[in-house]
Amino acid sequence: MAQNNFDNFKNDIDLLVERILFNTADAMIAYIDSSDIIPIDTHNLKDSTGVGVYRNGVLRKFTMPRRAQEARIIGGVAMWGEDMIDQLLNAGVSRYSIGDHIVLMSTMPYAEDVNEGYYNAGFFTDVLSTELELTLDEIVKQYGSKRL
Amino acid sequence: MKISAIEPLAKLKQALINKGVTQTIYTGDKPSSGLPNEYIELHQNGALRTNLSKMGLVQGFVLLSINVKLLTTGGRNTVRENIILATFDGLFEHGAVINTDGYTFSLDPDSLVYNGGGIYEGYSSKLINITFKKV
Repeated sequence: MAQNNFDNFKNDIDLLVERILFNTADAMIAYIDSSDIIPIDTHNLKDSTGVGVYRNGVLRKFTMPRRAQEARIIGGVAMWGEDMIDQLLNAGVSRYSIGDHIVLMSTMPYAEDVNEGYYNAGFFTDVLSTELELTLDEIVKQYGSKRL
Repeated sequence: MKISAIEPLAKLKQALINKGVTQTIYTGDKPSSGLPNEYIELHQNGALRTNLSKMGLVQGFVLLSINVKLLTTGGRNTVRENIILATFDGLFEHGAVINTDGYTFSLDPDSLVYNGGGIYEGYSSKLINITFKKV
């Protein structure tokens, strides 16, 4: 009986963690979607900024805004992040294989240039990642104040 | 059981074909051009795991993507999306599982990983997690 109760408790906690992570991912994308702070040219940078939820290396949720209608051309090459799924799944095995992870990511290679550039320095590593942490804290607090 | 002998993608592909799925199914062999208007792709999602309390049991996830070409207007072809999804509803409805060659495939409770455009240019995609166990 005690083992059964503990298993139920463990399952409840597991479900709660999943809901918190999924809700945070949705809230973060809503923020990105509604905000004009992401540099917009062809929409591809904004639209390729996504949030992934990994649980023990398994991609359980991926979400991103998507409004780009034209490929961003860099050096004559159209950038769409065509191998996005492979990258997402490889990251799960190689970097997020143990435990729960919520990951803010950009699939556009020039995001790094934007992040290190003069006008938007630290945009991804500082501004957006701080917003993700604040959003996660807020949602954890919301769950802490209500019964499921 | 050798881990190298675990082939959930090939087994699921064959099981789906046997169940009447008619779309082309790729398991790592997708061409870079000339794709059909609708296709399915299977990826392994995460590492294989063994359950030590049940010796010989290997389990994991297969990420199944259903991809449908966008309309000429750029909009989603929701009619085709729903028709293909209905096929999978029939396969996994009410907790149903697919059993084949010692593999058991079932729909993960929170199965929908992604739903929208932008994964592949010119297509809308639904990503669905399917769990498998192999004894």
